[in-house]
Amino acid sequence: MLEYQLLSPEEEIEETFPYRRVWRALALEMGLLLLIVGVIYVLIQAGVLANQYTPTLSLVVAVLPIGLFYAVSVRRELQAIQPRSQLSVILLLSIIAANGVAWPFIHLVITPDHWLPEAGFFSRIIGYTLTLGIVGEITKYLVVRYTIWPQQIRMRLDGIAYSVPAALGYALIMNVQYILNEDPLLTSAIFRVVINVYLHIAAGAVMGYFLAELAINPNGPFYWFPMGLSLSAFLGSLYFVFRRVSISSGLGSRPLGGILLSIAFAILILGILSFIIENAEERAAARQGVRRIR
Amino acid sequence: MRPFEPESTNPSRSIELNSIFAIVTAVGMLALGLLMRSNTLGSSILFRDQTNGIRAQIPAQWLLDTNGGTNYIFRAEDPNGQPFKTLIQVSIRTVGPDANPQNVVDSLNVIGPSRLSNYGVLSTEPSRLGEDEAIEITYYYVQTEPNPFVQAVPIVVQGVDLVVTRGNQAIIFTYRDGRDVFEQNRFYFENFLATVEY
Repeated sequence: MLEYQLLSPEEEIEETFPYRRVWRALALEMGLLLLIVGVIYVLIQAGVLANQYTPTLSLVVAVLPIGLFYAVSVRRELQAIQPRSQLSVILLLSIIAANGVAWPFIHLVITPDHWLPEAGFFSRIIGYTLTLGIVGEITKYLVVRYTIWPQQIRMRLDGIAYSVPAALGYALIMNVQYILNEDPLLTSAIFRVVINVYLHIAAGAVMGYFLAELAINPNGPFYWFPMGLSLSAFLGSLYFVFRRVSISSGLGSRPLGGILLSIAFAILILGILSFIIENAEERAAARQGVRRIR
Repeated sequence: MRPFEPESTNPSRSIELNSIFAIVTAVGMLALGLLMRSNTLGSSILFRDQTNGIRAQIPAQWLLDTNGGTNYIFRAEDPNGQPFKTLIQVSIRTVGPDANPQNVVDSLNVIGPSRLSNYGVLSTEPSRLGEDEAIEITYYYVQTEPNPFVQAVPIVVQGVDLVVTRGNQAIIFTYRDGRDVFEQNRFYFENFLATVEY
């Protein structure tokens, strides 16, 4: 008598994604920063914290994005099968370049507060792009370009992953200098921290994408990097142009207007970048006839 | 944005060109930005006071005050000046027919301490304004915030009064700014003096 044995279907072994997931970590960091700043704002509104110049707490909030970056991104990177390296080097170099070159150049040579805020709408767009925007983006670009590029770029998301510490280092210096030089109230300081961090992450991510794309396809046109620099500088400047509109409200002002604008701005830019990168990776995989590991 | 398709060009050549053009683009954009800054800061508008016969170019975007009565003909202030709003002012005093600029400077030195807190003279030097003889007096004073509810530390202000005479009038051209940025912003005053007609 024949005996039949039921065979279980062959189990398809799912490959594990070997890299840290950039978007999740970035969303978590940005969300946590917003949450903590929101709690501080509520405490100020409730009268628990005084809304006055508080350098210690303001500086703690300024350093917070870097703490979150280490707690989320770097920690997860260490757990990944193929971790990205030199994130701390990029962060450190960005801090040094921003503090040693970019900030003195902005503060002593460009002096934007003397001439840009009163300029007309289009003059502000052009003025901010050609000064603050390009100084910020060339600093971040140089740090990433001459450290890990192109040897550490294995996929397009690596460009975003490496652009984040460059942006955080740059934003840290802008925030610390603002707190130490302008003596802002606590609400102004914590709002400025969020705005600068969101803004530089979004604009830096654009440059990161351009860097990654040329590393993966090195046959790109000669204007690829210049285009990336100009576009990221332009996008970074758009926030400053619309800031007045978002903050002013008749004869009064909306303190939350600027922060809401920066959140919307970052979500929009990062969302578009996510779509472009996903699309490009999908098409590259289809062209090579390989299955993408998700 | 659509990523480019692989082409049959030399990859290292493309990377090299991109790296060079990135730097060139950044330097070019910065140069344009600085040029734009220079044009904006150097731009001026014509001020004309036909009653007193004064005509000059004053910085555009500055606030102009012509309601000084007998104290001054006009006063232009930079609204973005921090912590002191950079000021250019013109005032006229009636003097005797044989008065010279030195007499006016002496008079300013006498009344200075009563008008300005902690007033002190740094230098008094002969100068020229166009073809006319002039005397330039450099001084300092301390400006205190008049509103007690605004908690602000006093500001050390440095000033220059350039005095010329015109018939039985003495015209005083004044420039004042915070001590730290006095020299840095002095070009506003120099530009103003270069265009003034009286």
